[in-house]
Amino acid sequence: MPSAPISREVFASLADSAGLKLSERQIDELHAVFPRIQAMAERVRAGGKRSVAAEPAVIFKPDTK
Amino acid sequence: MTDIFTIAEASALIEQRKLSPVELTRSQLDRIKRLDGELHAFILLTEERALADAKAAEAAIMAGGPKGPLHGIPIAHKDIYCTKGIRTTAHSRVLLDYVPDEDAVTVARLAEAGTVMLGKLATHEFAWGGPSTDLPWPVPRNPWKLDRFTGGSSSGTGVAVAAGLILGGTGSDTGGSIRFPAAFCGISGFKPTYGLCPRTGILPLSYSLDHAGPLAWTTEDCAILLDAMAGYDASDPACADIPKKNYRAALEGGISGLRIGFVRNFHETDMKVSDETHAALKQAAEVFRGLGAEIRDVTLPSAQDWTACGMLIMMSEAYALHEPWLKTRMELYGEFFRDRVLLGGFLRSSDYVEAQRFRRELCAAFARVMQDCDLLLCAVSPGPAPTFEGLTKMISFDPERPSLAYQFNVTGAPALSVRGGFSADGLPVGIQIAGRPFEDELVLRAGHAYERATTWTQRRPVFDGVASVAQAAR
Repeated sequence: MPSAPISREVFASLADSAGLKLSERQIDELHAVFPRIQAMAERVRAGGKRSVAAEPAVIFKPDTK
Repeated sequence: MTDIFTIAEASALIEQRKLSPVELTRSQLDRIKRLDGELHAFILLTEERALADAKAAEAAIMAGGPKGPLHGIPIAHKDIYCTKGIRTTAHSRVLLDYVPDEDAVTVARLAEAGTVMLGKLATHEFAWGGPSTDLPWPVPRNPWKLDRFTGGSSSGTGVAVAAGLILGGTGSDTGGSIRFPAAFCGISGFKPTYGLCPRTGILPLSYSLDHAGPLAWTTEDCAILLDAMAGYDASDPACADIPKKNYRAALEGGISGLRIGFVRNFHETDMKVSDETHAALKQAAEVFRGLGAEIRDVTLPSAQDWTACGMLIMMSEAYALHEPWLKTRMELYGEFFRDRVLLGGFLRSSDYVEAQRFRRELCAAFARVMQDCDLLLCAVSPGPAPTFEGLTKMISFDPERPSLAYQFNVTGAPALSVRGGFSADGLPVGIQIAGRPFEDELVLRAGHAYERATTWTQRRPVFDGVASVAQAAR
């Protein structure tokens, strides 16, 4: 299920909780672009149909040396 | 001296004692001083160091001959490559006064090979933020046309090679940053297999996507540089512990009988590319066919898929790296890099994990295609170098303009950008040749064969009223 668009207020609160001090203009500009990022995030999810066995490309391998 | 040499040409003349490394270096320094005021390829010229390197090289060569093809050859480094005792800024105010204690491993290897260091080259801020006009150094200019974008992020290297300011240089490629400047500046740029060249001492952007590699006038010159740069180093956890190959020696042999997959979907359906790009790719396929290769149409996952995967990984990793500085010294960043990297802070951890799961699936799709192909031919850019107008801060996220480079960062496969021709108004048009991971020599052989079969490397930008190629058999 695609993520719902984030409101500007929620976006600003995310910045706050991340400890980022953004100007109003930055919040406006980044919020305006963020739907494109959300679209990318949806694209990589394969519609939620990915098997639980599908491992990410970055996995941990204990050092054998 | 106004002749511009390739590394191979200069190297042969040095070995024959017909060219002095000191005179060559002085000539390059003169050329840089004469032209770089308009081109802005360099952010730091290390003249004293260059002359010292050249004198040492010349003395050693006169005493015992050159130790290899790079002995006495003037090069320069992208300013994310740490250079001991020499300022390394990543083209950012954040690192304005940073002076590393150690050379990057690849810098040390190139120095050991006898290169002469001319200086540090412009880059997009931290290898992603450009072209930026709010930084302490000006935006590099394309020597083919000064109002055209150079491509990035290895912008200074691309310009410096194209304009004959250096004979070769270092770059990095996280999502095209060697291949784009190679395409727009009309030179050869090689992104090796991930892990072939150690990244130790290169300021990172994205750990699992960063690649170190060379840019030079020809594929042969790239192979010569790669021979020095490549090889296992335990300090880089991603570095591949595999036997070292001789990439220059592997250039000969032709490509007859090789199967080249022509990836049409990138430039025919996934995004709009220029007529010149269509023509260059079609002509390249014919050239390869004429050289005895079999051309077969193949389809890879879409450019949009590769871009989404690569961008989410890069944004997450880059944001994590920069978070401490973004919280404490945000005002020092240029606007382009700052606001692009900030967006990574709004991604969820599950976005990153899902992108890495998608990455494995995309790599499997690539591997299936490569079961029946030895090489790939595809587009590298939508057209020749554009003007700066329209190169906005958020262009990286434009769904109408997916990247044509990410597929080989996501897979870690080797990829080479070479000239595929020129537009009607004289701008170079790039094409891309790629291969299987750790078959870098095959990609380079194909690029070398292609350059030998075409005339594109004979054409230099006419920048100062003089365009010349070193005369043969001087």
